[in-house]
Amino acid sequence: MTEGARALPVLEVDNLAKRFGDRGAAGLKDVTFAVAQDETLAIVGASGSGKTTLARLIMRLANPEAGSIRLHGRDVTRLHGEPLRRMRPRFQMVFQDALAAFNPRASVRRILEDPLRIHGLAEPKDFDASIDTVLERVGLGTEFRQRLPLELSGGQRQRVAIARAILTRPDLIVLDEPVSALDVSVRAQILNLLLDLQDETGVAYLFISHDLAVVRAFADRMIVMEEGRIVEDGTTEGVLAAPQAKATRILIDAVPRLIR
Amino acid sequence: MTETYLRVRNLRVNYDQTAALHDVSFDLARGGRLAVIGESGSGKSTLAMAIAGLLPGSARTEGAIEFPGFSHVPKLGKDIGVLFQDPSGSLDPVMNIGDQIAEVVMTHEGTDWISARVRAVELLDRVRIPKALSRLNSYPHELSGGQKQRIALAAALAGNPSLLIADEPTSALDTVVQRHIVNLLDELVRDSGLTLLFVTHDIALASERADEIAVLYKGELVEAGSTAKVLGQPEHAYTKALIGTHIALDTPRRKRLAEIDASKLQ
Amino acid sequence: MTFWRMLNLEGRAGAIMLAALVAMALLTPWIAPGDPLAITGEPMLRPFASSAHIFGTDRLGRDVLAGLLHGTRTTLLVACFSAAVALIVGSIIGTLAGYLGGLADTVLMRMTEAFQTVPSFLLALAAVSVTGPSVPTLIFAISLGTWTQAARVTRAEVLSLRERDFVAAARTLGMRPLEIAFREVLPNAFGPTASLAAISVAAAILIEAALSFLGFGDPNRVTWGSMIAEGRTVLRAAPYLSIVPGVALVVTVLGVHLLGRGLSRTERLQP
Repeated sequence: MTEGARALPVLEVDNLAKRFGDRGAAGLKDVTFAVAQDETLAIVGASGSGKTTLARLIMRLANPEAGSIRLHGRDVTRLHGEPLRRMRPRFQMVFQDALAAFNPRASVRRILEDPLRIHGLAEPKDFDASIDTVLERVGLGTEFRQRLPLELSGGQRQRVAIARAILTRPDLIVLDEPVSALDVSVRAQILNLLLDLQDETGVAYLFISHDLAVVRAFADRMIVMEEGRIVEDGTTEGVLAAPQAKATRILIDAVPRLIR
Repeated sequence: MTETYLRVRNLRVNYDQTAALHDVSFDLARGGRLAVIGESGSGKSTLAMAIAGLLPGSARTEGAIEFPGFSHVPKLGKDIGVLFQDPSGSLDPVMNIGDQIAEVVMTHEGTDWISARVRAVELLDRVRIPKALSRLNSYPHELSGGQKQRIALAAALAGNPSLLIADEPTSALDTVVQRHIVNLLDELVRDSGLTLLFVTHDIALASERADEIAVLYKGELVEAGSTAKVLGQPEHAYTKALIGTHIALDTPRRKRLAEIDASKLQ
Repeated sequence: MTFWRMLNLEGRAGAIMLAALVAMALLTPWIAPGDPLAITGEPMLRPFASSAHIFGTDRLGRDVLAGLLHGTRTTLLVACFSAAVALIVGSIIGTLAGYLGGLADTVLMRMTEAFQTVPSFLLALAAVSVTGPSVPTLIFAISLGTWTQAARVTRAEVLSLRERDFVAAARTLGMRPLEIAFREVLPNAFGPTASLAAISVAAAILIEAALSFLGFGDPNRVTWGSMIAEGRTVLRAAPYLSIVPGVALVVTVLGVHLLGRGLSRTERLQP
């Protein structure tokens, strides 16, 4: 990567708009932000605020009506077919419900082989070695290769999902509520794993969440969304210390406090 | 808060060969709010379902679940209301919500259809569904997750139960909706003398809302008592570890978070 | 043996009936060696009258048992292959229509509807009268009318599956649409389609019998349909000539249906 490219934000979203989301989700209006390398930007908001629609647009699973999405300066908003497929390794996603995000009939080995095979990232004879390396990196042993998604615990599934996302060495990973379905002890393990991976590779995270306590512990900056618009943005400390928007204050008040 | 509403003694539940609960004993006072805390596989839902009498046929139960204030065996729906985690799963998708609630009212009160519908409106008001009357003919798919959970709560309250068992009632909802639902549960306990047993994995939520806490770990009740005591002076290593993993609004940013090391427990 | 334990009583009864038929078809060369069309005895022998011809002989003196056994082979061959062709073609078309959507969906589904408007027996009849009777053309002709059901069932299943997160995940990985459709979606959509197999096999058996009855079967092979047709001319004098192959037909279709029901129950019990 050249110095010039390094200075560019990993992801730039400009005036993104969509009237209705897919499957009746919220629309978006004039959403603009950027994420730099090594940075974690949290998108927070209550359900129906447009967080998921935004994630689907950035992942190019749906098409916006206006605005642009740039990855390392390259406009991907209107990319389709083969050119889009060649960009796919650069941005990956981890879904909230890992069980739903895997083909129920695919073993862990097949799940992790797919990105390698599709993008020719390794010779077929080296697939197993690459899979073992990434499994180890996310804290799973090679004995997990033959398991099916249903035979894994929630935390193990999310580790496999993270393994699948990092195999292509992406610059950006969209994390759509990756820990909100997990037990508290597992939640900490997964967040720690994500923090370590970022330290090693400098990958940028777009972290979608409704839990401000987790956002505070995990993200550098945050954007608060309400009804498809950005109502507040800033550093997590700044926004949480002096929230300006009503939506932000409601979200802060909703966090349960541990009273001892 | 002296009268014992529920007494559980040496409760054991086994599925096939595996034990889901070993030797659980505790009391719950009338009008009290008990939070059962644990992670997946801790047996917390099994405990709730055992008390509700909703365990599957394959479960083998030993021990006693007693309701000292009752001269009869409490009836599900009439004396005990149950609220589940997934409201879409507990509502009938092809029945309008007015009928779903009215049906429960008719079953337990023996009233006619018209007064049951009137009662359904009252119940929807009670769970703070705006414009309750116009909502009677809505179907579950027209409602948001939070509203569905309110409807499920209205149906659970339709038989006028004295105990409400809520199994992770808010873990499928976002934090803002969660706050509304737990506020509503609090009001119900305060205003109508309901006794509440709620299952949660969120220790902070329990600390805000419960009078008593029971901590389950791998099917064992490792600690139980008043909320202040369990959280203020936790005795068991698991309770301490659980408190340690809590992520609060003042948790430092980008520091490694505390994990639970299973090998150091017990 | 786990398969056996999974089945309920209905399914077991069906499995036994079909296993007996398959055994009959496989053992035919030993039980009834030689050409079933050869004249082997006195004509119009009644069943159980002669130990050499247990089910009797027809009006030319051909052995009914030999005809029945050789007919089993033709029937099972044609039925299984045409049901397989129908399911495979139907699920491929249904998957393409459901996953690709848009214009592809419109074109494929209008085509399916066009086939559905013609009764499948008439389609088969028309096809055989054009291509001439032989086992491969019979298979083709029968599946021509029966693939549409599989296509519609598969499409409905694919439409719901394609909204699932694992399909979105495959897209974010850069998997090509056809690979997603056939590698990720179709295997998960196949359950409901496979439960159509019983209906398809039973329908194929009946269409095949009806075609042979009308004289559109392979003239060099004995089939149950052609035996019934043969017997029809002497129905009053020798009703057994139609009844014996008729009973075989009933037993086969019943066996297929019972096994199919048993299997679909099992599927529902073990998701």
